[in-house]
Amino acid sequence: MGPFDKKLKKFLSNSIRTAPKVPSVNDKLDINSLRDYLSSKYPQTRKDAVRRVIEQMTLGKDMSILFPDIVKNMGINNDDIELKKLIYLFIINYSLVKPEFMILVINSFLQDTLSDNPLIKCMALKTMCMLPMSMIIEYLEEPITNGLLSDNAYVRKTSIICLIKIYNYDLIMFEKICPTFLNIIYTEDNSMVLGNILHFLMELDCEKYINMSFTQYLNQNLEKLINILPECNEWSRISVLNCISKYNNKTYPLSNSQIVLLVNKVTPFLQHINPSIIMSSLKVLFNFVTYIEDDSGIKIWEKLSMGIISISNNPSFELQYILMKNLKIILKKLPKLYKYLDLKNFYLKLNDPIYLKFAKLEILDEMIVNNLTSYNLKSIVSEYKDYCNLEFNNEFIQTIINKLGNLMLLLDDNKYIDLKLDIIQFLTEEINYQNDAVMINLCKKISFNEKYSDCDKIILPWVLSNWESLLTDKSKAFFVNYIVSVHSEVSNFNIILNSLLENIADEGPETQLMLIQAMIRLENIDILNKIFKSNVFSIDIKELITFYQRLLETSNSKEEILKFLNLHQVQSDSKNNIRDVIPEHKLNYWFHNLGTLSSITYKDSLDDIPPRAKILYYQNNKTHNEEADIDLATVNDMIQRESNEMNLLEFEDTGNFGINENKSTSSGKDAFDDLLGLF
Amino acid sequence: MLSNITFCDLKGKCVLTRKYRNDPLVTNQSVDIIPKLLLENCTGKTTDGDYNSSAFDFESEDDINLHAITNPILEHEGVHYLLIKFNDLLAVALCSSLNDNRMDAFEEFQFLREACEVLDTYLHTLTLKSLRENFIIAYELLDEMCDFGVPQITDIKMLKNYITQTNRKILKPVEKRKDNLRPPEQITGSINWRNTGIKYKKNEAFLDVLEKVNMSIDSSGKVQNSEIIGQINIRSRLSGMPDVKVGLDDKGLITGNQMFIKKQRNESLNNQDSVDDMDYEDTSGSYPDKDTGMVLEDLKFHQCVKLSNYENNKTITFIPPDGNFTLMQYRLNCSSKMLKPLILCDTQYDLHEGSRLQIIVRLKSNYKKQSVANNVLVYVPVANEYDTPTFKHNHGKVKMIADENDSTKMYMVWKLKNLAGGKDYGLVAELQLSSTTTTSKKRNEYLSKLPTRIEFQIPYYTTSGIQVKYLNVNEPQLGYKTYPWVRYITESGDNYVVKK
Repeated sequence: MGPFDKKLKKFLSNSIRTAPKVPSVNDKLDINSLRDYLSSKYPQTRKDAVRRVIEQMTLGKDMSILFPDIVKNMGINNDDIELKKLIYLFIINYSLVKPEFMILVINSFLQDTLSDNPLIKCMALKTMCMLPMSMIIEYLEEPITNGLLSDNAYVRKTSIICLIKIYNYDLIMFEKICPTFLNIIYTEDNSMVLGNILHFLMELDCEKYINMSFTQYLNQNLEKLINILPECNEWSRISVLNCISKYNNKTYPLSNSQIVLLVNKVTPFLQHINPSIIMSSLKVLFNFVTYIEDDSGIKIWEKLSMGIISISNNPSFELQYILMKNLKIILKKLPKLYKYLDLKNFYLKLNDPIYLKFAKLEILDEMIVNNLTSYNLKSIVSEYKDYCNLEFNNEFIQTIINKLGNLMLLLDDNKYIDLKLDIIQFLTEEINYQNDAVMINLCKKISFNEKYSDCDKIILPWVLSNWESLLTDKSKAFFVNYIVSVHSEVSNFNIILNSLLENIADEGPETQLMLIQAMIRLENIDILNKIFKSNVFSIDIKELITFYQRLLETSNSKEEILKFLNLHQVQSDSKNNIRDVIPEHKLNYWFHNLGTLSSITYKDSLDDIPPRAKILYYQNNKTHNEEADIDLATVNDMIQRESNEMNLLEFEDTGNFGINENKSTSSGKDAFDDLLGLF
Repeated sequence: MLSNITFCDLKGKCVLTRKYRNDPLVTNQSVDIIPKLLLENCTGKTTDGDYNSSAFDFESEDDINLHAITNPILEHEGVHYLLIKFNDLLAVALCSSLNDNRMDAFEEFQFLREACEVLDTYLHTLTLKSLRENFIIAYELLDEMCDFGVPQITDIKMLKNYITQTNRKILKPVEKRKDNLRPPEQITGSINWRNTGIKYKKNEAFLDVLEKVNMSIDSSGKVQNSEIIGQINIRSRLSGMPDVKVGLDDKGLITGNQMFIKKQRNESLNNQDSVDDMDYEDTSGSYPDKDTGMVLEDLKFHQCVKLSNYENNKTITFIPPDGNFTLMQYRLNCSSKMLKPLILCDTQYDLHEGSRLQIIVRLKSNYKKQSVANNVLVYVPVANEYDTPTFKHNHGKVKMIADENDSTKMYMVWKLKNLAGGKDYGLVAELQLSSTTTTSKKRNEYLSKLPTRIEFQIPYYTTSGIQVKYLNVNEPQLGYKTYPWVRYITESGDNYVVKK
């Protein structure tokens, strides 16, 4: 028979369906008939049956009873890769439920790892590593060692990953394979394998297993890594770049020429189409930027800003979001960049999702607050005005109103009076339905001693005509504070005050407090005493009232009392409060881990793991390293402490770091307590 | 490093999940909790319920519409969820916070997106339905693209060579005998985007220069800011391993961009508009009309372009992948005086005390008479509570379309099949408003301030004036002749808006 006849015969047997056809998805099929199909003499029928079983399996039906029948198919048609994959999928899925059958399949797996087709070989290796390790670990040593030594790069790169899995599960087995691995980390020159090796090394305890730190390894192989960059595929390029970005130049400083070479090789990638490569290149440059002299001709800052701008225009909103979050850290660390970044790139767009809008606002704010004079303030104000129409979201509009309010605080009265008036006019005329937020921002600029200015000429009428519609406690408090400070200009001041005092029982604590303070400022002792007698206050305020009363009894000078009152002004945003302060060590940690989740959520990685996770973490570590023997009591202790700390560390929604605020109020309270003790 | 990739429907119900790592934190429960997380994140409330009780009743919450992701990164019990919306699916990557300093969120997001795109190509379109039908190939691809949480290969052209699971409606498998199926050598090689031994009878290359224009125009017709996002797409049908060089006539924008960056710097530093008196003599600028009014802000190349060549002498050289790919993308920022609006639109929004809404739209084309814009769509946002709309117009069609993300918002879409240059058309629409509550009034006022968006296409026209000068193909072994074809299209970007 000629080759053609053979082919024809095979073709006929495969495709002409004289034999039973496996019914399609929609028909019901019981286990027994499936079993019949699985042992049919026609390969195509059997394959269809396997596929059908897998389908049922993913729908959540229990097919484990068919395990032996499926496994039977493994040995029959050894060359059909598709069938093999289906069967492997089945085995992985039921390996936990039917461990007793594992012994049936291990031999076939081992046979497949000897195949000369890299695809089959790798499939077998990968699948074996996905089975429960305890059953399979003893069989893995040889295939993986062989895989690492294979001359096919595809096999090697798969074996490396398998080795990571073993490292995560069984250190003893890993140590057996380790020598082979150590050999290839120096000799390997295929980019993709190298990418995986680097991934592993980042995870590996380098000091212990290769007798040198990760930085030292990089130092020895730096030239090779740099030269291999252009050949890499996208993902291995990212691993290489990420590794170099972790290089610790303090322990093994590179020479100046080495750094220049490195930077020159990395900067071209800032123009790659994959934004992730741009980000990784940026990270490398950030790592070395302090070691580059400005006159070295690299134009490093221009290039950095180009990379940042490139990502900020990427169509993927998620990536833009991460960049915005990270940019805050980058700018704090490298304030020089302010000069090179154009504010326009961070203006909000209509189609941005809400989270990105908030993140962008934060960056805009950061840049404006820190570099007020260098921007065209007028265009910023008009941008902010536009934003009020971008979203139908109260929180968003309030944030913008707050930003405008902050801007007013920052602006110098004389120089920018037009701009200020413009903002005030906008707030009073164009914004509807947001009286509370507008009130707070209009009123917060006034401190008690300030003179009646031009701005107030617009503010006052609006305040007077809108105060009755206020809803929140805070805005009312601001209103009271404001109206008292300008009371000489208000004709019906007494009427307003009286109506407020009449309803004092219904007001919130902050407003009540402000009213009491107003009475003290106005030296209206009679009313004050009347208020004190009424029993409408919460415990906190009652305490304060007692304090005031004693103060009034003992001293008669108004100044002295006011001095104490300053402790409890309406918690106002001064210019300094607008600037966030991040503690140095956190800043450094985040800066070195840009792109990681902690740098996006502004949390410390280890500190903020929730309790349940923490227990798991330590349990996990215990099985890993015997020496890390922490009993549960300590863990519980830690959790207790953790949960206390976490409350303090919680950040506000506005992105302001609330630590300072909390501290100041608590210290204020302490001072009061002390004073109470004195009297 | 991601521990798990899960595809779920928009409510968070799991369709397919692939576990990559045995992480103590990432368990099956972490996947089951996704709907609840989404719901919480949508309403912004946190419930104190016990998360470990596995029986959640989601049936009652059917009416809640999870239309938009409010935060792409969610966290629950030390597990981070990275979310991406793709068609009617959510792709979720689960990562444990224990690996934080080895976790590059940037990489994961990019991988997630590329994985979705690969699946999209394999399944024709990646949707809930197609994924359910083709889960086997999805599993296979997920296994191949990522191993133990480490991204491996997402190049669709390479994957097609050895992932050929035949699944009814899937793309044609490579014509090879099954037992010879093996990963191609190039996959781990240095030119990992092109197979060896490609042959065509006729060697051709098709170049598309596509420019998207984003503009915001204020009510008086003045351009506030504008940018051009351009890209050059190539469809290569070339044999062997050709070395290709592209020459562009771009007035020095791309092939000599340093001076423009410098110009931009100076501009932003001095905060002044006078660019005319700046001196370019020291640069390679051989172009007499220096002031194009455009600044190259961003330039990105495909993996195949030799970036070091571009960095050193500004030439664009590459070995192209076979078939379609995007060679480069660029973004030009245009100073407002240089670029006049291509299509102008004036919208008047008259809200007659709660009962009636009158919208008058005037459309004006501002380009040369011989050019024609196709498929012009004008989107005017309106509230969804209206009845008996009436339209008066002298060209095109008007339809009402609901917004994808916001169920309370609709668009009045005015569609014109073609719009010649220098023309002027009008539309008057009247809608009766049913309810007169404060919230609906508030909504209408908000909507009346939203800008009008316009979509259009103008063939045979580039706004920036960039043109392809030549395409040199050099295949050292075969030495064939090639036929380059070039097309130019200008389109509206996502952000071509006219404010009211």
